[in-house]
Amino acid sequence: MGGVELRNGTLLVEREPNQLDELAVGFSGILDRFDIEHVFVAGYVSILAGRARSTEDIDVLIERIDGETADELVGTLEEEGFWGPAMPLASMYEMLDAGDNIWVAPDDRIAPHLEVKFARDEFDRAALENHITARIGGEVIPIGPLELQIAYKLYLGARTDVEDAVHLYALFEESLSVSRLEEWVRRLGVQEEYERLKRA
Amino acid sequence: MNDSNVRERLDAKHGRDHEKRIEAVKRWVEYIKSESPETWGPQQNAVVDGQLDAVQGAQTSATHRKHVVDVAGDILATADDSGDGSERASPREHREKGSGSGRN
Repeated sequence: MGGVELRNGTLLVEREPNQLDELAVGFSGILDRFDIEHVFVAGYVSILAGRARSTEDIDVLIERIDGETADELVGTLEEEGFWGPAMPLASMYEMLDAGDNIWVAPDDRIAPHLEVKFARDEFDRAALENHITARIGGEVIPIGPLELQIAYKLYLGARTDVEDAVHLYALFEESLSVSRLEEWVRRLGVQEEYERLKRA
Repeated sequence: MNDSNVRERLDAKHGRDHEKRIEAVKRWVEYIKSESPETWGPQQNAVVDGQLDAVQGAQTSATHRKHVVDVAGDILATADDSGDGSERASPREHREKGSGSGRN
């Protein structure tokens, strides 16, 4: 019973992949071809771990890349049937370099899409550097550490964010590193929210 | 009833709604802990994929959006080729002026 488990630092998901998972796996494979470090974060991580809610976007942080690599990546994405629903993919480097994200979606679709951005602040970099592996449908993708995801969701504080935090905490309470979780809670200044989460 | 009463009632209602949603999240967690992924997985994927299918059903929107992006690209390329020395807006500036959409 179950089918979602954090074992030896790997998130094992035994349900069938959905459209979000398939998009994430496909995009991750392309980034891997270019050896671009990346990590999936935010709401998609909760959904991957069984949260029953919908979203149209998958947030993915990537390491900083140069313009030439970005152009090569764009060429491959276009060959593989992706486009930029918000801005042309050709604008990728300029958008990322300016601190914006860029949408990447399968051709002729708006949703689901990936929202790609450079890892910029300490929390982005921590997610990238401390990512864990998620396995679903025989494929693997990197996701942000669950302790950081929970604390960051508390920090964001919107209704859906808090519910995502509750889902992850309730599901993995026994497997999480309390010390790491509390460190992120402290650094994000969400001690009161964390206390409420524990009491929920 | 004055405005203060209304606000208090709304706040109380929002608080109850929030508690109900949190309770629903926790009940779902207990459900997926107790059932097999063959049982809860299709239910979760129905929620996830259902909305995406609905959005994808609006193909006119996606086609129109792609047309807008393509035309914008052509216009920018033409401006580049003209070599008139005029300064071109960056994609970010272009977007901020309302020519495209940004983060949701």
